[in-house]
This record gives sequence, C-alpha cells and structure tokens, in this order.
Amino acid sequence: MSVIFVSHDLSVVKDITDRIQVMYAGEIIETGLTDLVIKSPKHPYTKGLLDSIPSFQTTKNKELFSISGIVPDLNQRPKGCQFYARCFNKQDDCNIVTPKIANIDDRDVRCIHTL
Amino acid sequence: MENVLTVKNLKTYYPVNKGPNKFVKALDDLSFTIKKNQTLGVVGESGCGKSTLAKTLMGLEKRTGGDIFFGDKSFDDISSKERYGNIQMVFQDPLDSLNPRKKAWQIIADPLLINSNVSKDEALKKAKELMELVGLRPEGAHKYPHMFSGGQRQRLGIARALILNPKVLILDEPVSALDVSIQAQILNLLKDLQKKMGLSYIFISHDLSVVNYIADEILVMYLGKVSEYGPAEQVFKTPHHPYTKTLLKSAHISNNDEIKNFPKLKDAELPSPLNPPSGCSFHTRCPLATEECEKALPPLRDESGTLVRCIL
Repeated sequence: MSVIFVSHDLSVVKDITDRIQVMYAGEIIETGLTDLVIKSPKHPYTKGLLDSIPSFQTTKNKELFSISGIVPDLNQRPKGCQFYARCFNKQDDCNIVTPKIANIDDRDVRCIHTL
Repeated sequence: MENVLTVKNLKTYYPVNKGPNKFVKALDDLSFTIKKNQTLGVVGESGCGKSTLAKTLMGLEKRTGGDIFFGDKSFDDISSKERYGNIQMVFQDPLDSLNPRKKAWQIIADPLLINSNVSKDEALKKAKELMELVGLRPEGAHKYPHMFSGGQRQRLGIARALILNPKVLILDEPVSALDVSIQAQILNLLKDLQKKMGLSYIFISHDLSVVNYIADEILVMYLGKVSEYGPAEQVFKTPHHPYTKTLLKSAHISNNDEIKNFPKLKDAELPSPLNPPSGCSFHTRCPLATEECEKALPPLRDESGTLVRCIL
C-alpha cells in the first residue's frame, strides 16, 4: 500500500517515510528522499524546523533554536520568497525574485540561495 | 529548598456502573513534591492518568484520598480563591480553551476580575502588561482568539494562567498542538518566565525529547501508578523500569544500546483500567515479566535517588 503521511512531527516522519515533502505557505519548498533531506537540508525553512526539535543531546540551559515570526497572511502574500521575513539566510534579492523549484543535490528545492 | 507543592498518596477513583464497588483507579497512591523554580515532567501513555492528575490538582476533579499541600497549607484548608492564586493551568488546545466571544484582554483578565476587586481599567492594564510579558503586542488586547495564530493563542493561555501570580503552573500537553518552529518559541518562553518569576511547572507531555529538555524531575505513570520517579538525568539516561525503557525505545531518541535493543512489548494494547492486571500492572506487556510479577504489587524501591516500582 502507498501512504501519504501528513504530520508536523518530524521524528515520526523520519522513521516511517521514504520520501518527504516540506511545505510552507501552500508551496512545496523541499522534496526528496527522507534520509537525504533530514541529513542535509538545503532550504533554510527545513533546516530551521529540524534545528527547533530538542534532542537528547540538547543542553538544557541553552535556548532552543526557533524560527522567529509566523506564516504570512495568505490573502496578502508577500513578493518574492514566501519565507523571506523569517529566513536566517535571506539576501537582498530574496524578496524580489520569486524562487522556482529546482533540482539541487538530488532533491528539489525552492530557494535561490540554498544552504 | 522548600516544597511549593506536596502530593501524598493521591487517589482519584471514578465510579462505574458495573457494580457498587467498581472503580476506575485513574490515580492510585501517587506521591511527589515540587520545589520552587523546578519542573516536573509527567509522562506515560494516553489513559495513564496524566490529565486526571492535572484536574485533581486544580480541584476540577474531586480526589478520593490522599493529601495535597501548597507550601504547608492543605488543599482543604484554603478557599478556592486562594488555591487559584497558587496553582493555574495551561491547556493543550489553545483555541478550544479560549472563549471565542471574548476579547484577548478579557480572557486574560477574567481570573483577576472573578477573584479580586480590581476595576475594569486596572484589569485591562494588567492584561496588557501580561501580553507584553508573554511576547504579544498589547495593541492586540481588543482582538478575538480566532484572530491570533496557534502560537499566539498559546501565549494568551499562558498569560491568563499567570495573571493571579501563581506559584505552580500545570502545563497539560502545552506544545503538542503546535508545529515544531512554534513549539521551540513557546518552550523558550516557558523557560524564560520560570527564571523571571520563580515558577514551578508540572509539564505533562507524551513527547520525551521535549520533557527531557524542560524537566528537572520525571514522573513516569502507568495505569494511575508511579512506575519511576526521579531526576531527569537519571530517569532518561539510566532508566530502571522496563516501561521507561520501552517508552524511550519507541521515541527513538536514546543512544544507549541497552535501550535501543530492549525487547518488544508482549502486548501493544494498554489493559483496561477497569480490570487492571494483578500484581505489577505492567506484567501483561512487560517482556521481562516473570511469574513473581503477577503475584503482588511491587513496592517503590530507591535506586540511588530514583524510585522504581519493579522487582527485577
């Protein structure tokens, strides 16, 4: 049987899926083999999600990494990349150019300055 | 350090229709303490009594036996007003637990308006202060809950819980409805508030990595009873109870080889709490169980500071 497993729990997704599709504001922003995407995320949002999960190795007194801000209002979509306002890796052209999905390192990513 | 909350032999039984002396023992002989500035993580499967514990401590559910002390005052010796000044709760679903017809400031200020004689203006002012404290813009005070995002709603719930300046906050799955990026924001906020206000938390969750991150002590529950209770470092790094080991194994978070290779449960289903198994209630599922385990309920034994209910 084929399964589409929709979840925000990455530790479960990591364990039971073959491929992963990360969505943000209604768009697919990174998709590829689960192991590859989890091990070396190319989109800053994917990396942000992975870094926000406390692991057993996380130091207790350290602040958790968190993606600041919230998703954009879908009625008033911003120009350019939808993740621009919250991205830690944003650059000058990111809110001008609308990124297209492109194949990089064996997976598809929607970002003009991939990690 | 003084204990902010002491729970002794707490029992909450629910009567069932199947006979006069039939009960579901949702909480059975639970004892623990919480100190100022400390977080107790409560873990266990659905149906193990985590939420009954929260409700009983809040007085929303009547306890059948045992004692609860806030500082040195017994639960029965203080008014509900005084109790709510001691202990408050944050619920799992931020939207379900906020009245959709009330504005943000009213939701936050309600406990204050009900439990003290402040004027409306003062309550509004205080509500705005709390919005700032939890990282919400006070200009949003006149907005309704549906106009906030999930993470912001949980901040509203936290602000409401803090307005009476409680010493203890019960957080019942406070981040399970939130996506991971927002979850991290709320966990950081909770840690920050604890430091600023000297709060004690009872953090109920099924997410072991979150509990490990936030808790100083861990209470593992199984069918209303304590399985293992001790410092977080010990309980999660060197667990003693087979149930704790099973939970850690299924969460795929431990690097400990003993846990990774721990044998599978004999039975995946939680037994009915109406007819709990004899002896150790975990024996029907425990891969290590012997005949001895079916005979008598194991007492809690001390393993270098951790209490464990297992004879093996």
